[in-house]
Amino acid sequence: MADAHAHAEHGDDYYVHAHITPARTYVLVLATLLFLTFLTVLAYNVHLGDWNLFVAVLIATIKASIVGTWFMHLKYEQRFNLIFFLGSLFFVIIFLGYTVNDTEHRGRQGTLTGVRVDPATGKRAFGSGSVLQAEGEFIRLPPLPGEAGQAGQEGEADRDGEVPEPEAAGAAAEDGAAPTAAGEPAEAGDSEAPTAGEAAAEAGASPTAPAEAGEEASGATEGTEGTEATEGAEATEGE
Amino acid sequence: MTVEAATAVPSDASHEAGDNYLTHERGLKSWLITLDHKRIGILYLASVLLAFLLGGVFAILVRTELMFKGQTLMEADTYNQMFTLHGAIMVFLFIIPSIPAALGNFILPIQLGAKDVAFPRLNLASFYIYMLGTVCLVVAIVVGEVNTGWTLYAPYSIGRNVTGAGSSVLWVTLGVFIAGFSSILTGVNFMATVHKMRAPGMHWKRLPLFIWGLYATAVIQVLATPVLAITLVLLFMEHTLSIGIFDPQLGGDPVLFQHFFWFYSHPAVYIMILPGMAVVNELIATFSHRKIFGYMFIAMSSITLALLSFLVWGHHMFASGMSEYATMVFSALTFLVAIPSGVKVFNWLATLYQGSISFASPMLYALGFIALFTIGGLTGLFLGTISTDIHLHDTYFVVAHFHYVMVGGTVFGFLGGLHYWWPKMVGKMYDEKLAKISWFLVFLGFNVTFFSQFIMGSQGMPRRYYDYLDQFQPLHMTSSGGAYILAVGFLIMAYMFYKSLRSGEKAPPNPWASAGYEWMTTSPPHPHNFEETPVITRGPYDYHLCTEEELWDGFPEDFPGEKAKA
Amino acid sequence: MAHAHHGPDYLAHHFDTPKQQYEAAKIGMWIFLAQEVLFFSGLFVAYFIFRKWYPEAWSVGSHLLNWKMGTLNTAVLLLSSFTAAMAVRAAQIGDQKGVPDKDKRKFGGQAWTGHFLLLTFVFAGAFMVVKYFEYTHKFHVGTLPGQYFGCANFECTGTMSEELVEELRAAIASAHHNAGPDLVPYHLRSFFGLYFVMTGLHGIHVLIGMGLIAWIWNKNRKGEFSAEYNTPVDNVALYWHLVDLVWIYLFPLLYLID
Ligand SMILES: [Cu+2]
Repeated sequence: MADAHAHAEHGDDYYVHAHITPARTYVLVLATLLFLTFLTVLAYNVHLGDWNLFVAVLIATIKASIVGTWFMHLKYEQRFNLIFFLGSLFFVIIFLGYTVNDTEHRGRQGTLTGVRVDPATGKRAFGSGSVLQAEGEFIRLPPLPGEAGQAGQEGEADRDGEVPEPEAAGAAAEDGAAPTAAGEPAEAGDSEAPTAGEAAAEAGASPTAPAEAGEEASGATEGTEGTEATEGAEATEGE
Repeated sequence: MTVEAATAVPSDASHEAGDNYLTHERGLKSWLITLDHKRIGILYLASVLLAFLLGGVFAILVRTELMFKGQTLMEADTYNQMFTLHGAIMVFLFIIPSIPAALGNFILPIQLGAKDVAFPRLNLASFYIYMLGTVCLVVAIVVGEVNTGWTLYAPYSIGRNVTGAGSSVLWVTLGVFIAGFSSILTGVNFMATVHKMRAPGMHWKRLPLFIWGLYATAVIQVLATPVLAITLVLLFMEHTLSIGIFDPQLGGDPVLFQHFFWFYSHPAVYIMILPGMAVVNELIATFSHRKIFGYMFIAMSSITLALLSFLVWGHHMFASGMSEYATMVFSALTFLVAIPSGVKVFNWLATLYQGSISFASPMLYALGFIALFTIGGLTGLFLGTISTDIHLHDTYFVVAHFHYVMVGGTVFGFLGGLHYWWPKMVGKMYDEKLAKISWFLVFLGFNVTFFSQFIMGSQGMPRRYYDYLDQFQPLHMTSSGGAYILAVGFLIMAYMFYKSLRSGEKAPPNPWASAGYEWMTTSPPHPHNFEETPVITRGPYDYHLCTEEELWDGFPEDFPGEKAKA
Repeated sequence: MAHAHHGPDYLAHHFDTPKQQYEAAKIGMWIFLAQEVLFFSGLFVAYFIFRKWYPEAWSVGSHLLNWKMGTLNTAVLLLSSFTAAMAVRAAQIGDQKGVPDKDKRKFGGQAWTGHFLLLTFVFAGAFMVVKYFEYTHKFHVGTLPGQYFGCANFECTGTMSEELVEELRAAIASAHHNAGPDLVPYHLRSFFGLYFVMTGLHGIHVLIGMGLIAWIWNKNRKGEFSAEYNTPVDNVALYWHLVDLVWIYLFPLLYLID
């Protein structure tokens, strides 16, 4: 501490001279953080579509920078510490960006190569998020009492398609029953899932759309889950 | 000598005459709870050499099995376990800690002119964490049936539908997770040490290149290893609770596991090779007896390699069903790695040019390193090219490639460093003739073993197979024969070091006539490395600024550099 | 090596000056924190990928979480960060001996350091208590990871509990992404897999942090810190702020998905 004692026998570089932040600053920082928390909850209750994620991350980042700057004293830290800590975020971005570059483009090969097919099953291979949304698997809840009649209407969309049963998981099988047994397994029909249109639209942008859409429409989506993996052949045995 | 130590008041030197870190304290306990970085380095050295022996035994068993078609020694499943253990032990328990934790721990603070690393307690802790990880891996061996390969790829490692890949995988996961933290803590320690513990006068441009290399390594250790840790946590949870992240049956993505794994494991390749290069810098300069060529280029190429290493992990996944976009980007970026690697090789060659080269055994390892690493690096380009990789992926070509880099590179660097610093560490010289014989056998055996694997691989022999077609018989035979030559080389080396410990000639402070800072202290060093904190007034390769006496300090009448030449 | 001239008691033998020791400790801590960032990053990468792949599951999943409890915990953790920062400040101010009363800074000195550390500890404990209630509720209902989804208390009977069915209906109804009123996204199990790993690892960090705070509190009680030397308080607080930082992201990403 600069003003505490004079250490005449040593140079200025001998003792630590910490910067002491006024208590009021800390209180202010806390108030801001609580306000931002309130704001992020507020933003959650407003429907902004895809922007909700952006807003949430943005507010979180503002909060994080405030914590870093004042509570963690990054403002007064040795420069290297600041660079290295922020630099680590750069590596996180690489990690995220590159991995997403794969997961978002997988199974969408564009004009040259066509649709990727799993050699084991002849089905479209695991990939592209948008297509999976349309094919997303759902478990149907038991009908509410007095709602039985409506179930049939939905039933059209039901398929016998297996849900990748956790039976395959040893532990669950030993327990006698899989948790999903409760609801009758059902795959979302292409016409039913609200995202199907979205997927089709997206697929429409590429020349391979007919192939993809056709495959979906033909009901070949059963076992998609299985083809995700190298164990495709096994998981499709339900067909 | 330019450091104060050399001109230190004689009376000060004499009152603790003969005191060194080996004799300063005695007894097993003084070793086990030591905070002295030199002793911790020795503890690490003993452990990694043991791990090397163990991994080597598995390697010999694997090669023996493959010597003949069909079953030779063991069942197919035992064979799977053998190569898994060979890989896991060599990578996680030997190569990764070998140079940084063993040699680096010993040499880095001395080269910095520091009394110790920044956090000695953390240093000891990281050693015990490493031991704990080792114990977990040993338990895995005892529990048995670790047959996943060292990469632990999901979904196989999750244990579904697989007989046997059960709890032992958990032990491996745990062991690697724990050993990883040892690596992280070493990295943290080294970085802080390099930043804050340098002797007066040692600015960044006077930092020995060994330290630059270890610093770059530490950056990777700190930033990449935690990703391995989280990957293993997820794998562990997937195995025990089936959380549905990597398991395709629950909607997880096994390719995601590969992304996670290689985000660490490609940079880990640089955790392995950068220290090897770092050692070679020292060896080339010392045994050419001249200023290293392109100091700043070499230093910066280490940092560049460290950063680039984070951008290219996908080249391990070209055949994994990754998207083509990602594949192209990863392939293109992979080629960038060749630039800093090339910078290093050319600078070494330029240093040799017009140097007064002595072919002492450490130098032979350094030259071996350059040759083998170049082969390993260039064959890496074949594998970074998508079209050729599709052909070569998962063949013996890959096996040969990374052994040229890991063994021809890192292990040669490690052995070169071990020979080089041996007199400093134990205070005794070794039998140069035996060292040269063992070098020759290791070099020969290595090339016989792995060059034949390049040929096999390009002809389509897949890796990890228990059996093979007739056409590969001669090459497999050759490869296994090479492995035996390699083993004999290592046995002779072990005997050579043993003999040195028993009856080696006392080592002078600077047996190689090096301008490096670590040679300015006694052999073995004082408990605090230097009698007085040295003040650095020249660079570590400034031979032109050294007096002859400085280089011949200790045994001026008997310059071992001369002896080595003879 | 002569030790004769060596500085104050807290100066370790291998450092030359307190400043060197302090800066080394800080640099080490920040490097360690960078490591923590990368450690958690894997979870966030998985989170974003799966969120993109399985938006229904993520939306419905977050509606199965209690955002009020999440908000409460966020506030509690922010408060604890505040008290941690105040504890460091108190330690940095030190005992202010010889400073005239009118110039003395408030909330400084050993006693206040202790108070603030204790408060931090209490808030951390409160966070864990809230987490405990959240976890036990999920165990009880069966919103569990992976193959145990729907298995109340990890016992798979083959039927979902009434409570779970009810909760699921409510969550689906309020989620913007849903496929139909009674279609439960299959990948909820992945969501809860990640939820438990993320909050679990964060919780372990909180527990470790509590241990560290207790350790520092005890050191402070023994009077080991002063205006000149308080690096451990500083570094433990840094760690604690990082735990807070992680939660700042976890909270909206897990609890507040539209
Ligand atoms: Cu690689």
